[in-house]
Amino acid sequence: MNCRECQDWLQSCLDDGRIDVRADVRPHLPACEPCRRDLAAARVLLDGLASAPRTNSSKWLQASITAAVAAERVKRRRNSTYGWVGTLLLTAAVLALFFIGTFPASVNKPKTNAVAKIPEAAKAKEANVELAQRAEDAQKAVARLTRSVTEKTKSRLNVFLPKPRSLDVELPFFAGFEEPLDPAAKSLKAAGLTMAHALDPVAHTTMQAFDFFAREAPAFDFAKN
Amino acid sequence: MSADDATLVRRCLREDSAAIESLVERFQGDVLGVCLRLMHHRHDAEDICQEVFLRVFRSLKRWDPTRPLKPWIMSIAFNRCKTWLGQRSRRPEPVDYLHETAASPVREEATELASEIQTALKAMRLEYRTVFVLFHEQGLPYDDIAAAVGKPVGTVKTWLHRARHEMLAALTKRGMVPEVDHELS
Repeated sequence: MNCRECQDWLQSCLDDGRIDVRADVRPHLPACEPCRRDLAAARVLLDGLASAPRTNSSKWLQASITAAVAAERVKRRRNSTYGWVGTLLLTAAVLALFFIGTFPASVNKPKTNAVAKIPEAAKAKEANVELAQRAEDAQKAVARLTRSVTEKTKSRLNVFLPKPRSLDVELPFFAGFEEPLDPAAKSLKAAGLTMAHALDPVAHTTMQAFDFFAREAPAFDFAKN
Repeated sequence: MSADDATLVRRCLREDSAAIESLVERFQGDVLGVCLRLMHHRHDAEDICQEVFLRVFRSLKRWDPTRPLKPWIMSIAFNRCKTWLGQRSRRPEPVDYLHETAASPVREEATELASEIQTALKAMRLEYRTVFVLFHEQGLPYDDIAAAVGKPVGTVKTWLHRARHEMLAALTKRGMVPEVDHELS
């Protein structure tokens, strides 16, 4: 046996935890001090390992570990619950945003209309009443104006109309020429009556025309013509 | 794989408080022992022990029921110690006043020998120290140690061989080995 084989044997002894010197090792040891020294040291080591105090499990440490494990378990469960609730809330928020973003008309408008319908209807009704009142007032104003214009026109016609008639009476020398004058007087009378029933602008224009005639008529000297 | 382990884990996954306590009770001593040997600081070891069990229960669903439970837990302990040591190397090492109070009363020579073994362990590389502790103190077989440290069995054997070699040399150097003679018992 050589030193290498002796060392392998010593390792196997340490593996087994006990040293039984084999017969084939005995001849080598007396001649080899290093192997002999390692054998002695191995015996000391095995003795030391066998007599070494075992690490006792500490009740305090065991309680501490168990408490730490339980605390982490509670924390993990809580986190899991919060995570689940958080996920649920996030999903709900995303879905809400999605629906709001996708269907703004279907979500917002009916609510807004539903809320605003009554005030708007009331406002519209009030506006309609006000508008109707204003239209009625305007109509009355127009009617008043029309009546006023008509009355003024009639009064002016009353001033103006006798003139053609007076022509017939007061100007007998036009008798032979009455025919050309009668249509003019009739037309002027018809125009005056029509304009008396016309709208304000027309009446106004007519009034201007009558004013013109009324202003110019006195200056019109039929005798000279 | 132990059927008890699988049953216990199933109960823990159902959040059975008694099963959780039982699992902690069953493995707490081993985990604390490994952490103490690797960290050489009782407060750190207890903190890591608690952290290990928190991680165990967090990732219990990922445990393969066809494999033994203890190496899986030890792999978590080893990784936590490794990470912790990496962090501790960047800050001053704290003084552990309670380190000696954890040991039960034993013979003086045995205490001295145990102390020398721990001193030798402390001087080793973390990987050597880990496989030594898992093999000689926790009694794990090579396969389970390989699973715990995430290395092939051959690597574990090499590490353990070197760890023992350093340990024997340290014990000899520290005068713990009596003068050798030719007597072979």
